[in-house]
Amino acid sequence: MFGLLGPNGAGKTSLLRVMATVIPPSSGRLRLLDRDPGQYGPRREIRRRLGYLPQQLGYYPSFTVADFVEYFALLKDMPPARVPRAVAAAIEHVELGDKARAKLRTLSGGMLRRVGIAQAIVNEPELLLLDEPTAGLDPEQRVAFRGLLRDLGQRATVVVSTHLVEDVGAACSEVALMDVGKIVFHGTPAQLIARGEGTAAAGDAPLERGYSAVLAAARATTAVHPAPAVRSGWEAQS
Amino acid sequence: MTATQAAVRHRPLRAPHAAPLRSAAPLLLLELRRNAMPWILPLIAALFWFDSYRPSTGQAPLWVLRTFWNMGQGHTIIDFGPFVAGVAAWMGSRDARRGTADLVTATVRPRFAAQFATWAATAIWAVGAYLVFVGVMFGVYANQGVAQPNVLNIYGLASWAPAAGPVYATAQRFAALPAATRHAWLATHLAALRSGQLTLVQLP
Repeated sequence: MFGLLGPNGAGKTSLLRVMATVIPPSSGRLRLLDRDPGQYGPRREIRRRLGYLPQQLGYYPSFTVADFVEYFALLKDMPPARVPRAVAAAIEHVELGDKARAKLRTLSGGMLRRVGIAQAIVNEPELLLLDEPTAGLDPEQRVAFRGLLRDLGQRATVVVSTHLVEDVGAACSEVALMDVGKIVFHGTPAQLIARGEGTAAAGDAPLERGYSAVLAAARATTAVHPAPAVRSGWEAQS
Repeated sequence: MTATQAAVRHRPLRAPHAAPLRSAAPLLLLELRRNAMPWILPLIAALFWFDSYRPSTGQAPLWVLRTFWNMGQGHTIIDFGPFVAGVAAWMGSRDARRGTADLVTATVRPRFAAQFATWAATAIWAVGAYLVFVGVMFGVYANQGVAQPNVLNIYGLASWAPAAGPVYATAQRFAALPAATRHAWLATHLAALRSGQLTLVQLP
């Protein structure tokens, strides 16, 4: 499991949307699963092996849990004969078997996140992209969710974007820290903790102190060597 | 952005996938089950009853005349049109309203294919309901003793004309549609002449 940490506005969601082939990269080069998502054929193959849970999970309230997962299984071009079994397995995996026939409008926020996970894993993806999967969950749900994430990490490469460092500490073997659209740290959670030791960085937990120390160091460097300004169209006009 | 890598467990080069048309059918069935059109059908049925059927019974008891009043004057279409257009727009805007555009975009099938399935389900419900309502209306006319033989002719024609299409299609591909239409027109008028109704009504 790969944790993508960073403050709000760091670019985590944009990066995940690029990796999910929803938007093209504005610059640079991207390769996913040894393929170039800029080309139609490889992009289809990538999407066939991809699971994606966006930050804001949209859903159709009148669909049942099974309908919703089946809908995305079919859109992911799974063979129809395999779909019912795959849908049932995905729903069971997120422990919503007893809610399979429930309408989505009747589910709680935590259950909806699990439905989102179910649609993401229904095609048994090689690469699973989860954007803020624990956002809006209560502590008990978050603990349960981390267990689910660890389990998913046994089957696929999971990239989890979050601004909650405790999620990364509990579930991820690797972590990258982003700030202002750049990766300013890449290592293990233990290495991130080590970066905070012996510093006056803010934070209650060791991982939080490491997070704060890396961010402070990155921002100090940026202040000395500022990056060239990039202004969007409407800013340039104002 | 700094480059970074993460190890990925690979599956074979081509993952198993469905033939496009084979997986289109279950997608369409799912959309048919969850379409909004059935919810609006009772309202259309009521409108159809009060705006199409009941005023048509004020016409002379000739199916040609009543059919012209319903179809030629466009009453039945007017009853259906705004609702079908409204539901189609509602269903078509579903991804934007529900914030599922990213989810749908990140799937293998192009987004327009998903939207096409949604549209097709709406259209099937609308056309199916239209045929049922018109069929019921003609059935009621027939039970009222209004030119029943001709009504039966229409039902026969409806089942015969599509079957004639492939016959023409094998003979001459591009002549199929006009030839089938010509035959349908001829069969209708012959049926009307046989029952003597064509001479009774001069349509405007």
